[in-house]
Amino acid sequence: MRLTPSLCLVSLVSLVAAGCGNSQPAACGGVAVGVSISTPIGGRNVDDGAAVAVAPGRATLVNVWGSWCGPCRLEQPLLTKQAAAHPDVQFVGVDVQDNDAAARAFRKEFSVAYPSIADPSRELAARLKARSTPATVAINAKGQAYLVQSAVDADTLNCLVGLSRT
Amino acid sequence: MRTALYILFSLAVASIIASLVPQTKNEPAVADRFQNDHVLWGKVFRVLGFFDVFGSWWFQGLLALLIFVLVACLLPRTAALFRQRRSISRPPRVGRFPGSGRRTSMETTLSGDEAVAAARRALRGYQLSGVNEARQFIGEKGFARETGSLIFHWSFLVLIVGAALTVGFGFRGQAIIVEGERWTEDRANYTYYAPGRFFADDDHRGFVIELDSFGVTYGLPNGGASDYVSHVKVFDQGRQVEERNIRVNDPLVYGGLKFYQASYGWAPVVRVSKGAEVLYEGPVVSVNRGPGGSSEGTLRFRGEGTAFLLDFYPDPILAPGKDGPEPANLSDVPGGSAGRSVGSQKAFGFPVMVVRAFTGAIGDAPANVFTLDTNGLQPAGGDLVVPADVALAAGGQLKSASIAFQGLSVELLDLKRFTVLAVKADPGVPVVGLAAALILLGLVPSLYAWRRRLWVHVIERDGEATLVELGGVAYQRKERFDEEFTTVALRLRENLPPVPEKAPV
Repeated sequence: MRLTPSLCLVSLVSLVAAGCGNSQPAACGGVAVGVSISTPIGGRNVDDGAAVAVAPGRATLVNVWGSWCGPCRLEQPLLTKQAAAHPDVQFVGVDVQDNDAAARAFRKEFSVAYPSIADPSRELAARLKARSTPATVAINAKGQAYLVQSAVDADTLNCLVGLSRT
Repeated sequence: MRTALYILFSLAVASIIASLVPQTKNEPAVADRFQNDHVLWGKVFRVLGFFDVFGSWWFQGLLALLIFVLVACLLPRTAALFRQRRSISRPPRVGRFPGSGRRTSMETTLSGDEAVAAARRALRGYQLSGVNEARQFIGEKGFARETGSLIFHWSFLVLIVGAALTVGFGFRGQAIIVEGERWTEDRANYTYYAPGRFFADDDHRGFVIELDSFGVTYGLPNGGASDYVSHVKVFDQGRQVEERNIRVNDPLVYGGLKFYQASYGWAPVVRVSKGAEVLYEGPVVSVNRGPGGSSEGTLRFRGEGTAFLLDFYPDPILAPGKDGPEPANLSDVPGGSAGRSVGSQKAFGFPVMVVRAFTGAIGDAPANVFTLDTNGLQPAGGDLVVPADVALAAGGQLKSASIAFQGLSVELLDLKRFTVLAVKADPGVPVVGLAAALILLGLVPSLYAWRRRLWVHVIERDGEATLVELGGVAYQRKERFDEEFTTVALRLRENLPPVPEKAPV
């Protein structure tokens, strides 16, 4: 019985600690999770090798993809359409574990107009906390970021676009 | 304790099995290959859990039983030792010496109290009890034997705690890196991933390993590799922090992880084009075993509805096959058997790649990028492609440097190696090390220390010399105790002035 107060204290501390782990709430029906991204997003364009840098302070949607990834093909038409429909949101791809030729063929096949950053070793994806492919991160003007670790459907993508504008 | 010995023996046998049967957690590809090559044994071993011995229910059951038996045995023994150590400092109960063991007595002119003091000096090195009202006391030596034995046995529990730490908070993974490419330490980049129950995604460090080069030395009599080494650079936060070679048993240790050299293979650099458009140009990691000793990789072109199986032969020859001559690999050295003949066939003297094309719905579902499930796909032909320089040297007549299927042309541009690193995080290792040190620390006294007890009784007699009685018993090494008892008795004699002998009347 003497253990009971200690157990209560441990449980309370654990609950508080668990609560501190997620500083931002889940969103989009619990699909998107708040993450903290501290480093600037940029790199080499898969099309021409030129530098690509994501402008901070703007609504941004980053899609982590690869030409080898089956589910990426399923969501790409949606992303292409949404990018055209929302010019106020900057769309950027992060092409992981891929080679440029395959990436270019993929982008041509799906008529992707927004730029993609080559990330063959997933360094940038790791900094975005994207641990699966595909993954999509919505970042709003205040720098708050929400991550979805799977292929997005139309509803989720709409919701992410909305989050990027908050 | 006998039960614990049987369990320990069973665990040792299990460890031997784990050494002989490829373990999925250490060598997933080898374990898969074993199951494909030995179908019956593969099934039997799978049912018995031999491909993951340390994770099997019976191994963990044995461990749990060992813990139970150890604790059940050690708790009473430890309590008894503490009781003994506490009671030795108290004066013994007044009584007679035990009947067994060695005894001697001597007279002295000293008073009773003086004789007690002299006797206590003579028993130096013994842990002495207090003196009771009958001037009796006890001296003991050799507690280290039981203390050592208990440390030895408790250390096994510490060892198990260390192992549990590794299982719970540790990590096992496998990284494949092609020469010249970089790899980031993050969950998605592992080709095999087995975290401990409490190993979180955020525990990954995100540092980068770049494989500068990979070298193989073929020094074994059978032509096999005697040494293979990955030359790597490590980058953390964009800054190079280390550069070194990774060899078998000489791992890279960084960020709480150990990277062991596990295996290696070929990653032929391939270009696939559709007219003037390049659809793919890069290495194809060939981790699987293909026909005729080749290594096999895959490429999928979902938009084209075409996939390729690429079987790479670094040192081929033509050998009889089911449907006529087929390439068979002679060694791992590209073109290493140039000039060698087997039967009527000459070794090619250069590497080749057999391309097998398949068409159909490749599918957009997540799939293993290293393998191709050809069920439901239609074979669309196959051919053999050689490096461009070989084709040029042969005047374009021998073999083709480019072949075409379904409007896609395939070229073999270059050869690269890939390295396979087994990655481990073992947070329990310091605890296991401590346990090993404690086992040794406990083993030595438990083997070499021996327990013995001496009794002293000083009797003051009216009008007569004081009588000092010495008795003793050894619980081990009785022959050695005889010697020690004699030494103590002589020392006691020296400390007690004897009663002068009466002159003869």
